[in-house]
Amino acid sequence: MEVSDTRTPILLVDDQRANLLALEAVLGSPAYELVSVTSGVDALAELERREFAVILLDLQMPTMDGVETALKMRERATKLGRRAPIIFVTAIDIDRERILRAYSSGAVDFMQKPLEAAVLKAKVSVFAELYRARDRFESERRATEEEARRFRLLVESVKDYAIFILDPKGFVATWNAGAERIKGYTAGEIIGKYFAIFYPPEDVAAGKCERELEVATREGRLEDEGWRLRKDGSRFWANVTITALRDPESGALVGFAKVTRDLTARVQNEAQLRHLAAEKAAFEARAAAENEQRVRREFLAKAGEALMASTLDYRGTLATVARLAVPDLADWCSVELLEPGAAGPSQVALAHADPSKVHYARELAERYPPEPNAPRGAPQVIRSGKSELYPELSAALLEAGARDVEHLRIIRALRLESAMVVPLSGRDCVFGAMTFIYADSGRRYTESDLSFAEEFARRAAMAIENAQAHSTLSSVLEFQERFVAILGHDLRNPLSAIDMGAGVLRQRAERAQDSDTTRVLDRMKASARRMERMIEQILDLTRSRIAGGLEMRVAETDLCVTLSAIVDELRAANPSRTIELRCPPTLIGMWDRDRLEQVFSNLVGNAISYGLVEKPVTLAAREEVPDGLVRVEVHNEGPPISEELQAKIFTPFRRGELDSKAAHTAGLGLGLYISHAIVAKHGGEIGVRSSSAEGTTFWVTLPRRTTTSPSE
Amino acid sequence: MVHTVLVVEDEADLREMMREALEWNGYAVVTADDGRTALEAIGRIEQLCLVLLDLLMPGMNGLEFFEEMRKRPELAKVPVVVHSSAPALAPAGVTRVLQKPLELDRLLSVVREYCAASVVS
Repeated sequence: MEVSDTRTPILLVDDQRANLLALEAVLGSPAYELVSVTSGVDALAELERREFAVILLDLQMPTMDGVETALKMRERATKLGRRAPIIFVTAIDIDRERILRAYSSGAVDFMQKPLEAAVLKAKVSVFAELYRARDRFESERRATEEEARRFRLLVESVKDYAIFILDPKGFVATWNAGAERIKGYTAGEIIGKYFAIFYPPEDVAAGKCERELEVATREGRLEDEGWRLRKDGSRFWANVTITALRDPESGALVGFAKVTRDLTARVQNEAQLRHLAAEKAAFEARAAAENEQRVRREFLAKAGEALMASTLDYRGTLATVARLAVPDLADWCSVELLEPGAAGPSQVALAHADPSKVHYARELAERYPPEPNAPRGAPQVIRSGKSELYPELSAALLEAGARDVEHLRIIRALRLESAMVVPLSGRDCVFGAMTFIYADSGRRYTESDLSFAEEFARRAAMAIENAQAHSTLSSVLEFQERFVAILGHDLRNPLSAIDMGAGVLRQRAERAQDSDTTRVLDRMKASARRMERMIEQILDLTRSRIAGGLEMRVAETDLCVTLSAIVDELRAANPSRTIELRCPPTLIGMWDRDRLEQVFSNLVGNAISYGLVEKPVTLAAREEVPDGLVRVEVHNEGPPISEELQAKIFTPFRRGELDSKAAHTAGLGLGLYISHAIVAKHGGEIGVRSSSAEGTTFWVTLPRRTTTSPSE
Repeated sequence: MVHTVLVVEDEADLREMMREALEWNGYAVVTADDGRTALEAIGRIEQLCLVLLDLLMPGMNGLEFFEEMRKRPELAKVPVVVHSSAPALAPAGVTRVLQKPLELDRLLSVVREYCAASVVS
């Protein structure tokens, strides 16, 4: 209760109004509030209502005298907790007994009328002062108590922080709800325990607790973050402040205030946030890198296609490639190539997303042709074979490349910002360069860009070299083909003359019945035949190798007619040999007659060469019933073909295990190879059976209609 | 009237050999060493029964000759037999295609199909 009225209240009790007035006169002061009553009863009533610093009480009063009043006051005071000092005021000389009674009733002093004003004033002022002091003290105490209560409530209630006090030796003196929540101990469990219990064993062993108290004592406070232990032994990350509590008067250490915060959650959150932020950054970086990779991959794919597609016109291809590079990989892209006989490299391609700019740049190049001996850029890169990277094109650099003020002005207007020049290197030399420039787009080239550009230039250079080689090869192949055609033609004409000549002479000799001459001419014709066959084989082989296949003219063919012709011819050439033909009346199919003639001439010719002279060679053709194929078999008696040889008998340039007898009749070793090819082209099959018992049989099966098979 | 064979062939030895062979077998022969000469000669031949045509010739080659020849209506029906080392090049519309080198007997049998000889062999 505050003392709002600063006047000290004094109760004056006297039945005689005159006495009261006298007292009022003496005591009247602005510092005092004088309350006068005329009876003990009234005095008690006043006391019910309020407190008084001092009560001046007349002893002699009717109804209730002073002592009785005082006793009653004491009673009330005990009940109400208030006790005002009583000064008895008496008129008469009172006896000892009365004095004792008075004192025991709680009076603190006696005063005898007539009162001496100064003494009275002095005594009253003492009590008044006492009252005031006590009042002050009371209110302060209450305030303090209130404060303490509130503070206690605060500490008690706060759950987020462990707030507690350690005594100067470090033992836990107080506890709060937060401490219980965070550390797990109840107040009963922890108060009185040494605070090291909160620290992990390694910290305790290292003497951390003592150190902390020492620092707090010395510095006044200490803040720390670290691991702390809960009651269950689990660790949490704590933020701790230890504050030394000192007596404000003496400065003596009275203890330590410890405030602990569990940061685990926050730390976790922070860590999580950092982790998320890092993940996001990494993701974004990856996405950017992937996008860059995608752009590069697309460029490589498209450029690769363009390079692959071109064979001879690589200039056109390079123009396409340069166009592909803008605008994703460059704002300007150009390709320079060394041309034989030229002083410096020539620009074969120039691209910018805006074609009008290209036009402008070309005009500029005409006005200011590039320096072939320039120390930088494409000419230098071609000379040195090393790339150049200019992440920032400095003003100095641009100036160095300008021929005059006007030129510099134009160059500046182009706003070239960043550049890289990479060499186009072939197997033996550098034959060109590719230039990439960023202009007016805020982008800059990095080492990573340079690596990519170098890699690309490597591929482009390879493709260009291949194209050049290919064009050379093409012309070589063309030449070979023509050569072969011409050769065939040129060889065949004289052969024709010989053959025909021999024919004419033979005709005459036959008419003249000159058998010797006839025989000679027969051999000549046979040789001519053989030569023709060889030419044919060479042409076939070359053609099939180069042009990708044998030529075939399929038409309705009667195989029996073809076989008859072959047999007739061979009989004429080998009059001593027996050659038999078995063929149904007709075997019609869609075949290349001349080619089949080649095949069976070859097979029957071989049979004659390798077969026993005294035994017949048979040629048999028939239709196979189940599958409709036509089968032709050429048989001779004689030593068998070994299995080893059988396996490779249709491969080119291989001659069989020849005996000297057959050697002179052998051709180039291509006959069976070409026969195989011809049969295959017809969609048929060719094979051989050979044993000492059965002799050798070459067989051929053909479908009635030529089924096109892939050319060899 | 003996039928005449026009032999168009640039290689001299072969051309003369063919002349000899055909004349020996009773045919009249006119030769030409390239397409142009052949075109000039062809108008003057009476009873032209067959043209034996080489393809690969310098100057006007066999294909060009054939094209020109077919432009002339009076020559439209004359049989043309290609005798070439590259028979694949023969143009469409020729009567027969023969591969060099051709044996005499074969040549004669083909010519016989289109021409009457003065002496039956």
